[in-house]
Order: sequence, then structure tokens, then C-alpha cells
Amino acid sequence: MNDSTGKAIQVEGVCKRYGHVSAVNDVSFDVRHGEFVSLLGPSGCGKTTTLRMIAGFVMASDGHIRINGRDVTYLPPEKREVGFVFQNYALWPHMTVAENVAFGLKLRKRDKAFIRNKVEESLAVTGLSGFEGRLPRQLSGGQQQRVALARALALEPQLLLMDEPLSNLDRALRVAMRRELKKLQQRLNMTTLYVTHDQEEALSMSDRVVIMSGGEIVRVARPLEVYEDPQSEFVADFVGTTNFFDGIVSDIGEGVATVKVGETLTLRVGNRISAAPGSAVRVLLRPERVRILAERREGANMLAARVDFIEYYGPTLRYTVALPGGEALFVEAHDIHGSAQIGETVWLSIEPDHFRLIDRKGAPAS
Amino acid sequence: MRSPDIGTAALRLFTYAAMAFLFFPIIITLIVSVNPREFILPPSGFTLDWFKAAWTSETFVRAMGVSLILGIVASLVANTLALLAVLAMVRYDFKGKALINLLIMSPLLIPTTIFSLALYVYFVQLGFGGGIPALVIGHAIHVLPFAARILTASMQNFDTSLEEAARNVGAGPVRTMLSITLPVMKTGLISSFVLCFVLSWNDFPISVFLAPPGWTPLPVELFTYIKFQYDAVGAALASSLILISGIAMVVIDRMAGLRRVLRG
Repeated sequence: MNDSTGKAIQVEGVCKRYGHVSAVNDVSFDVRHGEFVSLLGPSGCGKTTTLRMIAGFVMASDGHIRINGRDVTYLPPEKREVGFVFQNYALWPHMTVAENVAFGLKLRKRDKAFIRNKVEESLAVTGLSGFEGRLPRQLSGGQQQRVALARALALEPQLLLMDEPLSNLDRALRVAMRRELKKLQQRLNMTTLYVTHDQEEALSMSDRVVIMSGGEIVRVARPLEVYEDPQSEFVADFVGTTNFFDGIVSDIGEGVATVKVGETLTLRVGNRISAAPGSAVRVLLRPERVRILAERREGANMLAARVDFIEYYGPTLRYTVALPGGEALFVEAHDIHGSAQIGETVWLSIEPDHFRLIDRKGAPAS
Repeated sequence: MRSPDIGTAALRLFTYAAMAFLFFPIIITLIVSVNPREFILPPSGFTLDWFKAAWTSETFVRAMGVSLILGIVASLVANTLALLAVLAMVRYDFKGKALINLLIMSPLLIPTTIFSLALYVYFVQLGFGGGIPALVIGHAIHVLPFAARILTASMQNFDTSLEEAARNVGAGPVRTMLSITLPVMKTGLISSFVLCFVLSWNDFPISVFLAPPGWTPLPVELFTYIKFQYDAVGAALASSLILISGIAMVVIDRMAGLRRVLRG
């Protein structure tokens, strides 16, 4: 069934409209065989609707969906042969764990011995051996989650779709399950499309992340690229915390631009977008890319700042500092024994390459 | 401010009085049906003679059979129709939904006697007057709103992702309905069925108008009997009806919790 393009899923110009409301608008992306791709975005961004269109629970208003090269856009869900794990698990409450897992196999009229082996195997893979006779309501959330996964895996789907499968679990379990899920996916080499609003989940599990907002795709990239080079204010803000400065490019050096922000602040910024002098840009800076120093040293960007607020997060400290021009800035430091106190003046050291530049559309160029 | 003790005591007294008022006729009926001295109180002893007479009377046993079959068939018809209607109304938006809902609920708005007379006139005009189909249809329409209310609640609580999960693993729409939807809604379906059965079992006006000769349901037979006979066999029969309804209510309560069903 594998076609020559190596694409497990091809989504081409897919739209979903409810009356005049557009939930998903002209979305296109591919998932390659064996790849783990996340659809990431805030609630209402269209990521779940997109996933449900691929599973066939929602019909696309426009565009095409191909699974292993086969056009499934108008196929009912039972003809699509994809695994699906629901956010609320959707286990059938009147069936035992074993019956839940066996249901799809029985529909395929496999013989009894085969079904028994397959159910046993799927439950073993998900760590549920011995729970065969339980009813879903007798299981914890994490166990129910595993049953949902076992039910999908029992049919050996070429493609696994997951809709926020971990969002109903508490944090410790979520992190453990995340790792387990990823290991399993790698071991089975299972092509996976994973919907989440949790950036940490998306970054830690995915080969590639598709970021959606307002029914449209804003970025498709590897996790590292998404975080380190967000390329847009939305991505920078949604994935992690980001400081923003609006400025005008005043001078261009070799790969480095000088950006004037307001009256008092001048930044030396790595220029990877080839911004021209005079152009309006937005400068992005991750809080953990700033070094806090007690005294002035030599460096490309050495800024004096006043500490306004300190939050202790355990592994890190977050300082809210104010620059002389009044700009507020988040700084994250690992050195929790640092001596900076509220009201003190500190020095901030920032490497030019740690800034990211994006075009500021609509801003007047001087 | 009044003392809370007096308030609580007054409320308790009122509650007991109200319950006594409601239960009194039932208790009297039960006492009379085991009292050897026909209708003369206080009872002089305990006897099951009246029950024996009632349950060995061919007329009454036949009437019970008629009521039983009628109740089952009418409940089946009403619940099947209600289930299909409720499926459409809970899951889809369409023009005329409010109107259809009103139509289904309308038997609740019309006094049953008027409604029965209207049905009788209607069936006569259609050319088959009273008869078994008319009787079944009448009872089914009468209990339909109750079935619709219970099943609506049941359907609204139904998590549609259970159906999506079934479709996802390869079940078609019909298979999904039979293997997932109906079994998951089992409690609601049984509750609805039992309530409909009890309503049909106890109905008098519809049966009076629509029952054909030889197909007289129990309440009508009972009425005919006590019109002419002044003995406690009637009371024993009434007690039997009460007990059967009571058992049905216990069944519902065990299955679903009576409160949930009546809140609908």
C-alpha cells in the first residue's frame, strides 16, 4: 500500500466551514512514513477539526486528504483504516478491557485464537496484562489511556492519530506517558499525527511540529527550529516565553545589524533575514539567552537593568527587569544562588546571535 | 425569628400528613382486599379469598393477559418511534424541530378523555372504529411523550465519541448502533420501557373508547365489575394492579434510579 512518494498523510488545501464560520482554512501538510508530527496550537485553532477530518469523523468542505496515496476525502471513517486515540479515551463502558481491544478484530472476522493472541499482545505492549476482565470504570485515567492505545494498536494501523491523549492525566503521569508513547512509536515505527495544545509535549515528542492559529498553518518545522527560530511573533509567543523589542535597523555590519529601540536602547543583533537599513523590525529574545552579571564586562550587548521582580520556579529563577528606557524584560537564570535582589542594578549580557529578527509589517520605515 | 426546632417539626408533620393523604387510599384498598368482612372496617382477620376469586376468574385473567400484551406492544412501538425521533432531534439541527417536538409532547397537553374520544372518532372516520390496531396506536401515542423525555435525557448524556471510536475500528453505522449505542443506552431504554408499560397498564380512558369486544384491558374490566358487584374482589384486583405497578417502579429504581427517570 505504500506509495512511492513516501507520504503517509497528504493534506491538500483542506477547509472546513460551518455555515459562514471557517474552522479550518486551506490547510496543507504531509506526514512521512514513520514520522511523528504534532499539530500544535491554542484551543479553537482548528487542529482537532483537522485531525477529525483525517479520521473521517468530520467531512472536509474543500480540499483533499490522502492516506498512503489513496484519496480518502469522502470515505466514511470505518473505511480509512487509521488508529485513533480520543482525548476522553472513548472506551465502551459496557465492554471489558479485552472486549474493547477485541471489538475491531471481531469485526474483521479473525479467528478466535488470533484475536486472543492479538489482545494479549496489545495489552502486554501497553503494560495492561492482567486487566483483561476489568470494566473501563474500574480503571484509573492512566490505565484507561493505555486501553485506548491498546485498542488502536491491536488493529496494526499504518497510521495513528491522537487527539490530546494525555491532557486528562496529572502532570507526573503525563510526562511519564509522554516518554513511553514516544518509545513505543519509535519501536513500532508508527506514523503518528498528534494533536496537542501543550508546547512541551509537541517539542519533546515530535519529529516535526505543525503550528496552527485561527484555522491556518503558521509554521511547519522541527522542534528545535520552532523554538530557536520562531520566525513570527505568534509562534514566539505561543511556544515558550519571548521578549519583544520594536526597532529600526540603523546600520548593517557583517551578519550583524544595529537596531535602535526607542531613544536609549541600541542592540547589536545577528541579521539572518537580511534586513536593510531603515527597515522596521521586531527583535525577539528568549529569557534564558540573557546572562545576568553583577558588574559590567566587555561584550557586544551590555545593558544596565534594574531588578523589579523575582520568581522562584525550582530549577530556574525568573527576573523581571527594567531597562533605562522603561522596557520590561524577562530573564531566566539557572544560578539560583545569584545575589541579585529586587531594586538592585545588574548587567545583562546578550550575544548578537541570540536575538531573532522578524519583519514588522505596516510599521513606518524612517 | 422562630425556633428552628418548631420549624423542623412543623415541616416534618406536614410531610407525614401529605404522605398519609397520598397513601391512604392505597392502604385502604390493600386492607379491604384481605379483609374477610367485605368493606366493613376494622378488619376482622386476614384472607386471600378475594385474591383467589380475582385470579381464578377467567374474565379477569384474560383481561390481565390483554393488558400485558397491550402494554408490551404499545411500549415497544412508542419506544422505537421515540428513539428514532430523539436520535434526530438531539443530534441534528433541522427546520421544524420545535414543531415536531411539540407534536410528540402534545398528548400531555390534552385531557386523556378528550384525546381518546378524538382518536375514536378519527378511527371511525377512517373506517375501522375501535379495534386492536386502534387500541395499540392509542396507547402508543399516550405513552410516546414519556418515552421521548426519558430517551432524550439518555441520548443527551451519550458521548458520541463512543460511536466514533466504533466507526474508527471498522464498524458501519448499523453495527455501531446495535453494538455500542443501544447497549450503552440500555438503562434509559429499560426505564423508558417499564414506565411506558406501567402507564399503559393503568390506562382507563383510551381503552374504554378503543378496546374492541373480547379485548378488554384489566382497568376497564375492573370498572365494569365494580359497577355491578359490591364485593372485595374488585379491591383485590386493584391491589394486584398496585403491586404490579409497584414492582415495575422498583425495577426502574434498581436499573436507573427513579429520581433520574422522573426528572427526565
